[in-house]
Amino acid sequence: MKKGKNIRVLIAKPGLDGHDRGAKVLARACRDAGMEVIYTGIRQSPEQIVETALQEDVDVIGLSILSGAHMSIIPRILELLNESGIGDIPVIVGGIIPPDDVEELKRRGVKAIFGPGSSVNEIVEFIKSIT
Amino acid sequence: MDLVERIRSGNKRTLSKLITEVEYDTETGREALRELYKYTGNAHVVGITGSPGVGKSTLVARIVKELRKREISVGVVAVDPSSPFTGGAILGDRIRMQELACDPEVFIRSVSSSAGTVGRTTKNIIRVLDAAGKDVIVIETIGAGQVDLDVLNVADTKVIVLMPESGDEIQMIKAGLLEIGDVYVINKADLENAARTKSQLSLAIKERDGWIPEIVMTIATSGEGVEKLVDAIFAHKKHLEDSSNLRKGRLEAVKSEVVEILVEKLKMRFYEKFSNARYSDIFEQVLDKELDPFTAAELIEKEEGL
Amino acid sequence: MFIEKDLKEIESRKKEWESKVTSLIEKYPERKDRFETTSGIEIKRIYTPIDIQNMSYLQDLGFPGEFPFTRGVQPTMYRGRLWTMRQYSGFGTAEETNKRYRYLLEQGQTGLSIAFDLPTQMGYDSDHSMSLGEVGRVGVAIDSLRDMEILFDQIPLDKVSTSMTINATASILLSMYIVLGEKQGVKKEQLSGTIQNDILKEYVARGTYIFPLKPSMRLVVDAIEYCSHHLPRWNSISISGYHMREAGCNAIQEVAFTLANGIAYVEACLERGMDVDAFARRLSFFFACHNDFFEEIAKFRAARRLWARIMKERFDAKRPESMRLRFHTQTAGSTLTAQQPENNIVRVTLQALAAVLGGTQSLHTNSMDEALALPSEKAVRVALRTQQILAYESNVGETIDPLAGSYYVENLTSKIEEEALKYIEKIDKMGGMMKAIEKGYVQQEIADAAYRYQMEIEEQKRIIVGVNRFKVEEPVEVEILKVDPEIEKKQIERLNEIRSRRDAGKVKDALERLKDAAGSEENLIPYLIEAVREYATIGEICDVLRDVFGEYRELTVV
Repeated sequence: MKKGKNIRVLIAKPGLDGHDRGAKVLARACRDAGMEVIYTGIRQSPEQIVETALQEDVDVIGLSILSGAHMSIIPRILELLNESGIGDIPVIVGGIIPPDDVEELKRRGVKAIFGPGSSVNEIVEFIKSIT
Repeated sequence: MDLVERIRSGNKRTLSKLITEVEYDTETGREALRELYKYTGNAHVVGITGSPGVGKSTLVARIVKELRKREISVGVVAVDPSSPFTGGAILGDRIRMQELACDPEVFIRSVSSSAGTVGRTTKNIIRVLDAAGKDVIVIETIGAGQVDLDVLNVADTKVIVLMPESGDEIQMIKAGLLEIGDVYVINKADLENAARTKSQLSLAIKERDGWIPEIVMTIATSGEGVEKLVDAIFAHKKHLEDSSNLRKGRLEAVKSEVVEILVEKLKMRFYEKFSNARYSDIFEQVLDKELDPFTAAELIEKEEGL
Repeated sequence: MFIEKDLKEIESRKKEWESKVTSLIEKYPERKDRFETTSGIEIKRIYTPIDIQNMSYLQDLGFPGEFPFTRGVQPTMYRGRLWTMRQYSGFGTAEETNKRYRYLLEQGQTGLSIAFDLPTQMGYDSDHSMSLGEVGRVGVAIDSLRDMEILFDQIPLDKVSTSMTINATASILLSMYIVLGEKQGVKKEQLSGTIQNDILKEYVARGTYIFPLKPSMRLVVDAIEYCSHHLPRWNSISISGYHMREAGCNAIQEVAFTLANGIAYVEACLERGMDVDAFARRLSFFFACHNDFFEEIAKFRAARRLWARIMKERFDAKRPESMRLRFHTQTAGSTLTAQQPENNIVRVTLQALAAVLGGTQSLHTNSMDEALALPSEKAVRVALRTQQILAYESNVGETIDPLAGSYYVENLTSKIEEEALKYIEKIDKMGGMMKAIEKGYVQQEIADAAYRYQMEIEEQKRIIVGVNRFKVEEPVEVEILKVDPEIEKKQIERLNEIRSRRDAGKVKDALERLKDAAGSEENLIPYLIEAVREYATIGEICDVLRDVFGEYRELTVV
């Protein structure tokens, strides 16, 4: 990252799940840590998320998903990121993800997964550490 | 392919990266702007402002949709406020436009108003989008303060969004927006007092350079009136093109931009000079009240042969 | 309630005691400078009669089954009949869920509670692109009446009461249930159950809205109106604080926003020309139960009293049934931890106990593994057993409202009522709940509270056992239920089969009539009934309505 440039984070909720408490709390924590947060809100398709990341030149993509649809949706997002030539943007995921799926998603390229009870300060620090 | 070609051919990744460079006013950004300059000036720039809560974002989304219906390519620059303390910002205007995110002829970029230079930044981002071939560029402003006017000033057509008010006087008069709008929108026109607000507004606005600002009633949530609004924007565009004032106005803008760049350069040069101890005596004297700042400036002027 | 002379005496003795304590504290300080409830109400060292001296027993408490219902909505409460143990469930296909329901009924559960998957809740068919990965995930997938027929196979609708957690598409699911009843030979009058049908809270939490506020409200009122004429045993709305609480608001806000939503629905029904006593008795409520034990009990009592007063004084209801706040409770999902999941059994027990002491009419207890995945069968059983132990072993239900008269609980009850009323007055000033939502006020209040709560955890001001204190390194050993990924494919196959088998002409006609009706001011339920009878799908029906009504977009409130 360039010196003096604000970190730009995309925070999106893919799929149909509307529980946005975690996404909003993290968005706010990132803002308070001096980041620019592109907040797209709920019900985002993989295509919308990837296009947004592309147009907004973000440094990190944060996805929050609690519906259980993560194994269908997240790999699709990773695939589209690669196709769009922005597979280098780190993706982090928050939500209820069973341990087996955590391993599989990491194997496919997700940088980190934060389950229930994660500290937002830790997530913020993690974002800083990878940008 | 070099940068210019990639921008001109619509490579989104390049475009997006370049906007960041331009935003932070880097060498790369400036270099690109020099090269791209000759390809700019084709897009029509529409600035949209209005107080928070009048339905700006929804309206912008509707306008873009209407433009797309007419097969016009669109760039959007959405400006959001940032914290003066941390520099952080929530850029959330996109929420209303996400269904347009995947349209290949639409490019949306969120910008935070962090720097005091957001007016210039926006102007340069517009140039990049313009060179990339967008027909219309819509800027959505924060809706308050000087920052807003700075941003709005780079627009060819300035759209002021209001909503029906119950008071006797329209609030916008205070903000001074009645002197600069080319098109006025009364959004949420299904609310009470819409007709009254319209008649008050029509009494308050005046002809400027042969153009009588149009007033359009809309309901952004349903899309009602948006077609008329876009027609009004294009009517203003046509007026500008037909009128001899366009070139005159643009010449003024070019002049002030060049002056601004010069001033900036001079400023930088002076700061460099001041960083070596050459004038430190003079500053010490001003601080100790032995000299006033005006005399100090004159002394330096003479010394530098200005 | 107390004699003036006694109060004076108590007051002076309390002062003496406090001065002694103060000097003691100098040597041995208390754990915190300020003790407070989760909602931020200060908790005093002790409570005495002084703290409830302004309370009038008859006006503020009364008797169970009587105004203002503080002590409960029924005269005998759990001595007459225990609360309904209603575990919310549903996953995968209709066949699988049907199996789970029959298992739960055999296990002694007394009511069904259907969870629908997100496409069903948001009016998309299973083959819509937005349904990717969501089919049968958080609940059962329903595309058409065919799925409902399978879901209730061998479950007689006149024998069960069915609660459906459904909002934006509530009127469609209700219509399916009615037609399903017809097919089983059960009359509308015999159908018993609940649809959540509370769209307002979807705009501020949870997010399963489809249409803009106004047409959504119309659909809500259509269902309430239709039920008031044809389904006397049906709860046509369950006004829910649960999701707002889960989204982060506190107990006071939960009461305030829920009742403010209630007010908006009552007003909308009155505007439709309905008589308040014709529908108010079928309004039901749904709250969360959190960890702050006494505050939660007080919350339920305060909500009951406040609603009774609102219905009587503001809406001039005449029948006592119109003033009763009957509610379902679910233990708070957001309090469950993924770390040391067994601890959740204890949390759920405390929350369930508070709900029972608060006088709930029905209860869902969460399963210990819900912070990890969908609950497994074993975890669901433990959750249900928790309720049964409370009901049959603890004796807590043997007398009514046993905490009444506790200086602390009564003081807290009044405090919550007072503070909630302030919020309601503020919302009234904005022009009501719909306006407050359009402005983003409620969303902002909830987001602020959620952020504050999280920061307290980060700063260790709030301790979550196993999360920010008493941590252990542990492998997760809970048995986890996985949804078969083949479900989506199977569901889409069934959808296609239905589409090819039904009478396309009749479907088209029914949808066209629905469209015309949507553009008019008619009640839409009869048209929905006709459409679902022809096996029109939820997606097709909602597309028609989207065309007429448009779609809602969320505000940016973070």
